[in-house]
Amino acid sequence: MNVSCNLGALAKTKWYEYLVRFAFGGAITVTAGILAKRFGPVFGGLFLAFPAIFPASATLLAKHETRKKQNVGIVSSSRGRQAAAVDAAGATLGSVGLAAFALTIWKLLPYYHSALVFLAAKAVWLTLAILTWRIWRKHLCR
Amino acid sequence: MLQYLFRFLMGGMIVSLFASLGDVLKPKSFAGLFGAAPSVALATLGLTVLADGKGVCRSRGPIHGRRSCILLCILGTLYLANAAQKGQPCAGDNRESYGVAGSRIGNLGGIPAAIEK
Repeated sequence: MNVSCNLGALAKTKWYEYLVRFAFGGAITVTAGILAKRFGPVFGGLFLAFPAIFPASATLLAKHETRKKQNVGIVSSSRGRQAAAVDAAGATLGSVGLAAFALTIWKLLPYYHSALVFLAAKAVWLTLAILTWRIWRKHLCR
Repeated sequence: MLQYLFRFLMGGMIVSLFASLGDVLKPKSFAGLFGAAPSVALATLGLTVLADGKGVCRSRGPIHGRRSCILLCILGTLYLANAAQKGQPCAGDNRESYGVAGSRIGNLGGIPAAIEK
């Protein structure tokens, strides 16, 4: 299956769902900062890997899929759970990219300009995440 | 205080951006990649670099955290694949046998990472 983009999906998300995501992301970022200040940067850094995006996305996805089925008269939550589960599989693969992102910053930041290192780390993350996903789709996904 | 407010806004914005990206992309396994995007890391490290110069020390943290998160995600996925097979079959497609709870277990990644450290 090819990767596609459906901008219409944005309209399905309600304003308060966007607000919850924003508040959750902001709260986690502030918490990571407070922990770093209190216990030192290495301990605080552990929480930079906190999956802030995934919980909100997965629960919303499950809700939207269930609602879609209900609109056509099927009352079951299993479709929603399955869709969120597939999303979880992608997040597992994306985690590999995130580790590479952190490793890139850790190793390069002392020697190069920070903007350049951030750009390189983002490129490493995206490339590795997509590559891992493609390998998974081709060889491991039955 | 202003610094925390700025952190909050920055974190919220980046998380919302990546989450929206995940909403519009298909297939959902691909969109899931953006569920693990370095949102908190980008916001926090970006601000640290801006404020203190080079926050290199902190970037070791996500490596420990992510290692545990991956492990827990895999364990959760296996558990739910098993549970799903025992319950409802998924239209002959094993890909869909993964479960939400797997990721919820995975979300605890930060806690064992802290213990591990």
